[in-house]
Amino acid sequence: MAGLVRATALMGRPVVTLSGDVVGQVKDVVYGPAGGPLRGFTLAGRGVFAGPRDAALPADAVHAIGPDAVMIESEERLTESGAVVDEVDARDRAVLDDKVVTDTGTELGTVCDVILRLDGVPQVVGYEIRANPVLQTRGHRVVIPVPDALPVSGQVLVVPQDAVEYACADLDGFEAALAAFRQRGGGGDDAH
Amino acid sequence: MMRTEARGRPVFSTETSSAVGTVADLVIDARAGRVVALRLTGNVGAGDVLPWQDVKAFGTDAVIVDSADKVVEASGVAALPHERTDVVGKHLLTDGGQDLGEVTDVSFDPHDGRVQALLAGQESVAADEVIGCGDYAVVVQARPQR
Repeated sequence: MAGLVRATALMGRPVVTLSGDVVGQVKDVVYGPAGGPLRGFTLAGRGVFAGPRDAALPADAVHAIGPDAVMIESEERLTESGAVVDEVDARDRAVLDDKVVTDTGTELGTVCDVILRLDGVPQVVGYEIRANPVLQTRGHRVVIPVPDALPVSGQVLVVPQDAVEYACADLDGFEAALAAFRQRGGGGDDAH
Repeated sequence: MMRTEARGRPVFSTETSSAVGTVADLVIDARAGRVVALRLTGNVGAGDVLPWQDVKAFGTDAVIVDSADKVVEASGVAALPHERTDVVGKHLLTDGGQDLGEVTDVSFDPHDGRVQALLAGQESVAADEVIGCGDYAVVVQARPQR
């Protein structure tokens, strides 16, 4: 199946062991200050009776991320959320609603979703943007590819200008756009 | 035979040639892939569990036991799995995280009690594909293609 998924689509998905027990549900995805590979997921308690649960699932403990559940080998692979979410307050790096600006200084819009690729270690490969008029010829929401590593500050997301050329209206066709963008060397140059 | 067919089947004792109860449900150990007991209703004794090894015959019309004494209380059956291992009503989930639906029925061999397949709507999964069975789901090996 397609390996691209919106981060918001993963939220609430049950986390189930191969023994068939549910251990929680995905609350949020966590990735490092450089973007790229996911560190893991924070979990919410399972069911309606469970309270908040300070547990996290490291990315390397994931057996599979399917359309209906995230599978793990056993509950023992869960950790304290501190092991996945580092000291830097995760909220400072929350990207939703962050402004997206190109490295030539054009404001493209605000982040409304994070695009993940799930083959192998899940990684951030793009952002969905609520587009400013400058991008709106491609739709009100567009998906733009990002380089392998893209610094994430939680204030603003600076993306290469040429990523705009590869913007897609939806996830359909994004895989090809991403491949073309990255082959073009879009990840190499750093504008800072 | 299907679990849904088995339910409602009368249980007769050869000792007295009388009915000792009616099959209400199968007690299934999904990990072992076996029917380990029958749960009865309308039984004459105190218990309501008939261990599979005491089933003399599971016929097309009736289940035969030696005596009503074979129907015992659940606490007396060591091999009885915890209820969480029951499969019906649970999600049938592949190890790739795809939900095939809720388990609606189970087919089993009436001669030896071996579970043959789990059914979820139109999906059928062989019992030997089962990896685990917990409080949420029966986990089965993902198929090579959907």
